Amino acid sequence: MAGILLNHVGKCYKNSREYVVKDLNLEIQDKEFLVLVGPSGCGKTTVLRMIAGLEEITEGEVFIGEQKVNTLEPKDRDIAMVFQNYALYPHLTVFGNIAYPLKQRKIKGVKYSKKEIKKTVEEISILLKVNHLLSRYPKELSGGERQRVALARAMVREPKAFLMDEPLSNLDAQLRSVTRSEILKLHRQVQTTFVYVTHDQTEALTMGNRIAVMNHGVVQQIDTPYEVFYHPANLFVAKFIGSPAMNFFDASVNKNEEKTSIVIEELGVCLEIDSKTPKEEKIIAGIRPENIIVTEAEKNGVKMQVDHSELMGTETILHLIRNDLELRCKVPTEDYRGEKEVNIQFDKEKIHFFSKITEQNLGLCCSGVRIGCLPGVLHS
Amino acid sequence: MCKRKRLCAVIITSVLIIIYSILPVGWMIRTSLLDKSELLKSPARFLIKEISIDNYKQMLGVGEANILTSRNFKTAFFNSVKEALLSTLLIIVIAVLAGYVFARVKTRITQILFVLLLVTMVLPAYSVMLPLYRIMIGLNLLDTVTGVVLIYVSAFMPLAIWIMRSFFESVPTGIEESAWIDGSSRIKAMLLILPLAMPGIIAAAIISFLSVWSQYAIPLVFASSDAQPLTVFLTTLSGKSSVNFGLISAGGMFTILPPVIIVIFLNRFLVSGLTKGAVK
Repeated sequence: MAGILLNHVGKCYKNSREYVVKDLNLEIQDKEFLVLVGPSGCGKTTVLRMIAGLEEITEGEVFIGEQKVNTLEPKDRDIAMVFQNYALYPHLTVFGNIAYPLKQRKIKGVKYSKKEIKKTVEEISILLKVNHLLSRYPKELSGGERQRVALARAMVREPKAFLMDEPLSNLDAQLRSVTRSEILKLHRQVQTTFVYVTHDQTEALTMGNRIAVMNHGVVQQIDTPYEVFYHPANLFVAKFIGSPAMNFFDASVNKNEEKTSIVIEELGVCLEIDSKTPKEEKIIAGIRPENIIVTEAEKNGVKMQVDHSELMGTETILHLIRNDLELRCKVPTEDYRGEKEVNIQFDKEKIHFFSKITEQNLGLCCSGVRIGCLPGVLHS
Repeated sequence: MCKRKRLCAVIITSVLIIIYSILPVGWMIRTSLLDKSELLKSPARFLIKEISIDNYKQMLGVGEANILTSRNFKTAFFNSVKEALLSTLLIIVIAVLAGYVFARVKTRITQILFVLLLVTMVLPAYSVMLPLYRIMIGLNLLDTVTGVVLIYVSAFMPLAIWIMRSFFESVPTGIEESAWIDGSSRIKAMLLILPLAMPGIIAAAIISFLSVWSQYAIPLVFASSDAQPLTVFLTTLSGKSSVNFGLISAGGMFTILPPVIIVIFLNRFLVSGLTKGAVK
């Protein structure tokens, strides 16, 4: 058991000058469950493989516990890894697969005895419910069973950390959610550091103690799932986390003597700001679909046409249009079936403002929403 | 109906091709079973009435036989077996290790080395005959099994390495990576995936064995008496004044037997091995 520290780590493949991971600083606490999340090609798997020792580190330092591991072979790093395609040994039985890590290791120069290996493998296989499969070969197993065997193989010894590279991406939706909670349960049981890579933001939000959101080889935000969701550090995080994605509008800052307000011209909405005034004149405002309050057409609000709707069960996603503007909002299914026109209002506390230049969250607070504040787009 | 016609055409063509390629072998079998007195009869017929196994008896030294011939035959046979097995073993050990490195370590140096290795395959063997002869004299290895084995290894190793490289490239790297993390060294991880490359190993072994077994020019120069293999021995059966076709044919039968057995039993590995090398 140990924490993992990445210090100014960079990775650049031999034949290109472009960095796939740039100046990465990451401190993973002991026993933490850290999720690395990002779109495909953002460098998250590369980070994991650098920790594992499967990929050379171009710049910076990686520590596992107190030990610097930059030049250490994977076998000497004492970590376990679950691969996306499981990488089971096809010509060994399930027993052979799970026993393999034990056969390779020595404790104080002494190898495990056959008895010990058998006992340990049986214990772990009962824990992961694969004990009835021990004599089978990987090709005779289903996807879910293979996944469990891969987990069992990783957990059979007590490594300093577990690395998981999208372990659920080959499972069907139902099995995925079951396995998700099982992995969390295992994390609680074994009390070891977990580093988990995924492109699925639901997995990231539900599983991690902390989430590191990555894009283009750079970490955009490292924080708890709550913070990442409710206080995204920048435009990318706001776009990437949350489903359906956040709605964004171009907005302009209207500086007045007594008060500053932000105007979304397309909707004719004025947002009053009671904190500091942004320097820029043009900014971006964002609001999540679930923070848009839909009212009936007669009531006060911005009038929108319903383009189409997606039924998600108890909730429905409405795709609304007004001229060229499109936005999504989430409503309870029962309330708005078959409506052609709705009025929307915004939950003032849930509006985010981003700089158009740096794309960073400006940290502004909205104190009031006035609808129909501009001539020409007045509520009619 | 049309399908049937096509099938007939295919069968007839195949039979013709088989006859064409098997006829010389058939003629050899016929000659080996011929009695000495019938050998020079004219016109020669393919089908013979009386079958005699005298030639085989003489080769094996059964009954009234020329002891010298049979003794030489046995020595040559064992020389052939020794040379073929030893070279195959060495080639496979080298090809597995080198093929693995060429498949997994892709640096500029390994790529240049691999191209150089392939270049040696297209050099005609005769062009290096003279320098090789000098080297063999220098090393005192002329007319020894060790000498020819070394030459064979250097000659047939590139093809075997090529085959092994293709096979290792087809094994996903994930399995080794997972083995490294589970605590194996690089060499242990390679041994772990070796069973997955087994068809390649068998194919490379068969090809090397067959190539070595059928060599004539190299042993003729480098192993002309003590280390003489079967192929060279057969030519010694024709004297200055007479050529004993029956005896040569019987010896030929013993020579083609091992390759034929190998190909019949292991040809499925041969096909998979060669196509993998080709399609990549």
